Amino acid sequence: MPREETDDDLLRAAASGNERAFGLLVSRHIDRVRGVATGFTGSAADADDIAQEVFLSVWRHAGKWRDGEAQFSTWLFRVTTNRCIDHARRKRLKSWIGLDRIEAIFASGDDPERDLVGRGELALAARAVADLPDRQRMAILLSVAAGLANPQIAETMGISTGAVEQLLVRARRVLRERVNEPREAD
Amino acid sequence: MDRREFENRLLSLGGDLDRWPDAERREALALTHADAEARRMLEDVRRTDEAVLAVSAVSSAGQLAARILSSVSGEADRAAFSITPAGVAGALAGSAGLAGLGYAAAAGIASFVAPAALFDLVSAVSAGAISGAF
Repeated sequence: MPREETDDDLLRAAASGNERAFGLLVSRHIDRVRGVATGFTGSAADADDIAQEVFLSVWRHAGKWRDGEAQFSTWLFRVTTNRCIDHARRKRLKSWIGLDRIEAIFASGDDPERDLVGRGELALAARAVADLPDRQRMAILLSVAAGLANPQIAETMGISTGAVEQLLVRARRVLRERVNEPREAD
Repeated sequence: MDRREFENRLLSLGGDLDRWPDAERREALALTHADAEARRMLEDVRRTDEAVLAVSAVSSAGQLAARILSSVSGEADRAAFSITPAGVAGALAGSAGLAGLGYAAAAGIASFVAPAALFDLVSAVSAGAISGAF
């Protein structure tokens, strides 16, 4: 039975222009990247754009990957984290200068997942996640949606494991109250 | 492990005890076995994590994968790499579990697949039908 190719194997092959290897890397990780981005932005369409940017960045910079320095998934989610934060900054800037209102006028409203989170318990959970500070939101998404262990989240976010644990404790404490007692929260 | 320490670790490590370090998991299991309040705390955090997962849940990632691979092929073409649609489809077919057919066979199949079928293949990949070995 042939050995399963590791992410490192595939990335090395992608760096030399092997699209088969890149396609497999995408298929392995796209759900988790898109999950983190969806949870962070609250929009499936924005998450798609972020995921596309992330994987294009992987393709363009695959040659810069240094084997053994960090796990591929750590690098991948570091890029994802940066893209999400850039997205949040752009969104805040648009809001500040009023561009968001112009975009809303032209929005087609054909985002069913956004419509879905407009109702019921999922809406409460989505609002609770969206209301978290950026770093808490990213930490909980890297833990739950990406399935990373706390030391890997620390490496991804460039902070200590202790700091990650504090972020997760605060995030889960707030979410627990809002998710499990939605009627009281209203 | 007492209830207070359990709650702190629960909020830090999450409600899936299988992801906890072995020693702490054993202590947590012993506590939840003996203490109804600890079991309630565990259940609350599990529901919390499930809610976060639901918020981040994704669907139709296959079409996104096709969009990404299409972009990459476009970039590679511009950069004079020898990337072809057959190659991309071969990669997807391979990752979808057609490994036994070999890359050449997959590329051969790919030359006959319509774009819609290619999307189906990508959907199959994102749905988890991945062998990973070929």
